[in-house]
Amino acid sequence: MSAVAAIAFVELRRFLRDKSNLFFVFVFPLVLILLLGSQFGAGSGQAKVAIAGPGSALAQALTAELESAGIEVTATGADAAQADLSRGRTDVGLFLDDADARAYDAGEPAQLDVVMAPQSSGQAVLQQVRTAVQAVGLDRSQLAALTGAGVPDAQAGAALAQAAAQVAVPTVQVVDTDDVVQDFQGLGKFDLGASQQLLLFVFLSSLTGAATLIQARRFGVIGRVMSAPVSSGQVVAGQALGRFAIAFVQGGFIMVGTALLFGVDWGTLWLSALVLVLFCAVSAAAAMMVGAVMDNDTAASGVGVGGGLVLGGLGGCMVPPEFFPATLAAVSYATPHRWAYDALADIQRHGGTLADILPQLGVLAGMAAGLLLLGAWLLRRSLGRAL
Amino acid sequence: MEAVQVQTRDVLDVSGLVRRFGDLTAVDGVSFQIRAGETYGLLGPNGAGKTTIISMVAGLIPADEGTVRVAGRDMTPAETDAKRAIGLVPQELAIYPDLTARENLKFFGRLQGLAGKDLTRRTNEVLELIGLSDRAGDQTKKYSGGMKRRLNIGIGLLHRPTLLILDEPTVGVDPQSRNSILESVERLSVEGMAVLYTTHYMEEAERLCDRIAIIDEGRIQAEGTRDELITLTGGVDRINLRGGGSTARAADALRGLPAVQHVDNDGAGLMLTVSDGPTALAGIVTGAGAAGMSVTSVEIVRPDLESVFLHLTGKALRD
Amino acid sequence: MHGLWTMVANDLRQRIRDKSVFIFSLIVPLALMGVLSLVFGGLGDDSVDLKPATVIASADDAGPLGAALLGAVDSLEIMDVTVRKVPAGEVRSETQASGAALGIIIPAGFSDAALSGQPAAVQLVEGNGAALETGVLVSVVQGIVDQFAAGTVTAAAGGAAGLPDEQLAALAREAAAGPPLLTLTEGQAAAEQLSLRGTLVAGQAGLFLMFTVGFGVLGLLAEREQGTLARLRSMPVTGGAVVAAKACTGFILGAVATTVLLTAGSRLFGVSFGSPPVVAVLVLSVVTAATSLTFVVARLVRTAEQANVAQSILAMVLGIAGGAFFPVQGTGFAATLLDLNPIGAFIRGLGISAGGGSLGDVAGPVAVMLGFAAAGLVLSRVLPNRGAQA
Repeated sequence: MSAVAAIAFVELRRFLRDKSNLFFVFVFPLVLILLLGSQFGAGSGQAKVAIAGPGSALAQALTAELESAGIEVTATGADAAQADLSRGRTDVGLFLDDADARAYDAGEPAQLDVVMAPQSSGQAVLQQVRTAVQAVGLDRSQLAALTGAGVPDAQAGAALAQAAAQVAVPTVQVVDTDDVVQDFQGLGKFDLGASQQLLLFVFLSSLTGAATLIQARRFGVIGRVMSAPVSSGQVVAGQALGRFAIAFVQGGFIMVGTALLFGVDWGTLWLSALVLVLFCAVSAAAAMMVGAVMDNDTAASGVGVGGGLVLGGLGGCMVPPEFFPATLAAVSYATPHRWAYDALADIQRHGGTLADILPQLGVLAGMAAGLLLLGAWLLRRSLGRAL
Repeated sequence: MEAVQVQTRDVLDVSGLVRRFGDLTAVDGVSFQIRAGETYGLLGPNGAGKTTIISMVAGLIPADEGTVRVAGRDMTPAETDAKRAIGLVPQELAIYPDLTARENLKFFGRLQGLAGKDLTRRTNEVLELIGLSDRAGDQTKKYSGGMKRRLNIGIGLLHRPTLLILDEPTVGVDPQSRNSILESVERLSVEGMAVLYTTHYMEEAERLCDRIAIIDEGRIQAEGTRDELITLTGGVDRINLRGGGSTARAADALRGLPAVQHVDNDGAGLMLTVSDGPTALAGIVTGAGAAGMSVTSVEIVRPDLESVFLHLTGKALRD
Repeated sequence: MHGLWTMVANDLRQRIRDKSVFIFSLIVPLALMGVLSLVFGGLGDDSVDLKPATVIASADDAGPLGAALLGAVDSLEIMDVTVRKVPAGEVRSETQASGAALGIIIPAGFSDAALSGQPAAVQLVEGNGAALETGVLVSVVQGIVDQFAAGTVTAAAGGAAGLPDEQLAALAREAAAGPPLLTLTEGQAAAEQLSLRGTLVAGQAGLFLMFTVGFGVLGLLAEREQGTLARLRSMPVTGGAVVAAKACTGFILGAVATTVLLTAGSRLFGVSFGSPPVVAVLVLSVVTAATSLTFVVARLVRTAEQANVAQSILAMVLGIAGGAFFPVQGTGFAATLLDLNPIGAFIRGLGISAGGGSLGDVAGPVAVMLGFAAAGLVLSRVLPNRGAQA
């Protein structure tokens, strides 16, 4: 056992000594989680409407109506609004001019120019703008109807205000929302991104670490260790343990770092840590496989980066798998990421217990064992190959 | 091309060369000349400044002071014409591992201005010369160490340089390849190529070089043919005593003997320079034994370049 | 000049022989484009047009409003809606089971309650599938119910103002259903952005370009490690030519890889980037910017290992900030900073050309990329050399 630990320790120390690793392993994931949180967390997907034109009662009424519908409204110039629309930085632009403002003040009909950004979110926001414009128009129509019937202006306004306060009006109740949306409610701004990036980066760094295994083979270090009085099983176990230790140090760092810096809630800590342990074991075993099968370390890091990102994407580390189409969702269960994601989601969102996540843990343990046996066998075989 | 410049019969003229690295003066006022067909050796221990001299001669680094003229042209890092006249064989391997021997040769040949049939012919000739014709189509990363060394040298020969510069070409080479390298150099010299050869193996310098400069601490300590250099020692012999016991005390005791000029103690034995070896031998062995050294073997060496180096610098010429 | 091309040809031959350039420059980015396109596919279609949608509704209301509401939804101009009526108790289950966009439950007596100022609510059940269509429909229903409310309020206000009862119904109709005071005229925005898939293809191409050009200039480090740099410098070529050869190699590899990626990406994922000459100008500009950046890297690092890491960091930071994985928005200073990113400019330029933009229209992004290239070149001259080019 001491031989295994010695090999593992040397691997961990080599890794930590290489300062270049530190950025990608420790700094980069946290920066990305911060960026993702600020882009997609609070207020993400919020509809944006730009109102261009001079300040007027019309502009104020529209702004108030749109904002009450939860839309972010910016007042801007016509050119800036056009540019923002073209680049997708705003969803809909309303272009008002003095004639529109005067017509509105006079209670006369007005045609407003509206432009939708050429993107899919534009349609939904455009409909919200239609509804808001209609609502603003309705206020005017109500006044016009009353004054048309002979009620003096001032009295009409007061009567409307009074009626609006007294009379119950029909309303719309959204009684049942999308399951997926419900599932994400209660998640902190950084929680989702943190668990996704945790899995993505632990696996990614482990796979790219396969290159060091190839270097170790090339420099003859593995051969020399094999010539020492240790069994090949111990060598393989030591290498695997080393990769595991690296993965766990990184994963632990991300969990602690995000909890402290961004207040990410990892749920029941020992359970989340248990998921991480098993996921690290799968990652380490996968790295052993790559390191044993490939002979060119540059190519291996390419495969590591590519494979790590591709599997991470499929496993739901880029887009939550809850949004996947059915087939893709089925495919995602071929990745360890998906099982770990589900387990973490259960712990984070639903207070899942050990019993709840036992299936996921079982699959992860099975994957780790299978890959480890395969990796060990391949590594042993690789030692017979010339580099 | 200017006729005036090629009139000189020296292929290489190095004059007053100085190169400093920070506080360290690695090369300190070195001057020497090499004529066509001459093999000139720079002999000195590791760190003596040989590679720095070569780097300035080959135009890899600029000299702080002094000039290098190759085939009548000034050599500086920017001087591309002068570089056509030289072929450099760096101490470390300088070949592309992903390319075959033929591709390596053709690439460097093109950079030297060879092209077309000429390039193909010279490539085949060199492959023949270095004995790699059979493996010319294999990537060089699959070669043995000796094969890579031979290719490393072959590339330097490809364009028939006026001056071939070999920087310790036999370091880390097996005896068989080493011998074949030395034979090639001898053949080239016979063909009229000027060769600048650095080594810290005195046998190589003795075997190959028409003239030898003994280098230490960035300076030429002595220069001449092998025989000229040996006369510098005044005909002293060297006696090597191997054995254990108190070699340090023995060294002190032997320094007191009148025939002994110098004693060098390397821990495993003593190396002495003496005026008349055979006569002094008995007294030396007795003296060493009396001082507590248990002598296991004795060797008398007639003067050689090693002796010259020891004589000039008071140091042994070893790795 | 001859020596330069000999070195470029030699470099290219070696890079082609070494399979890592194919992995980094073509296989990995294509695989990522595929996966990202798959996983982002679930977030919604690229299409700006609304798809036909089904609405499951129960109309237990005997009065006119329920029918009016469903009629209005059914005859919507902006999208093709099919309304299917089921009993109220089944609306929820049916909406979820059938994948309908929306379920509408209009309670019995809705019209009476609404018209007489009693509380009444239309209940909506959001479907699980098409989020976009669902959102539009919810807003439509909201608008119609707002109209009902306006009528009710106006009638009540009329009553309070002392108008006779028989006039009130007409008043309510006038307020709620009269010709709208404010109408919208839809204009067109010049499309200057790529579709989601187009962004992924362009972004991955830009991101991995950073790695690809690195194979060129950072080959200098490899030359030094294999000892060939000393040999090259003993040859009749200038030191500048050696460095220039590496830049050319990186440039050629980058231009070829980016072109292949854009072509393959547009075929595989069905996106178009517009006029080929405009795209070519954009590709050449971004490759120039990336190549110049590798010179800066070559100045800063000592070993190939450091170079790889520095290159990866820059690629990831510029790629992500440029929107290679997801669109990144910023305001104020951050937005300006994002605009100066060559990968961001590349994606934006492709957006303009995809929208039919001409050479003149992409002048802005091209200027950003070339400006970045110039700045990189200047920086690489100014920075102290740490070894790679020694």
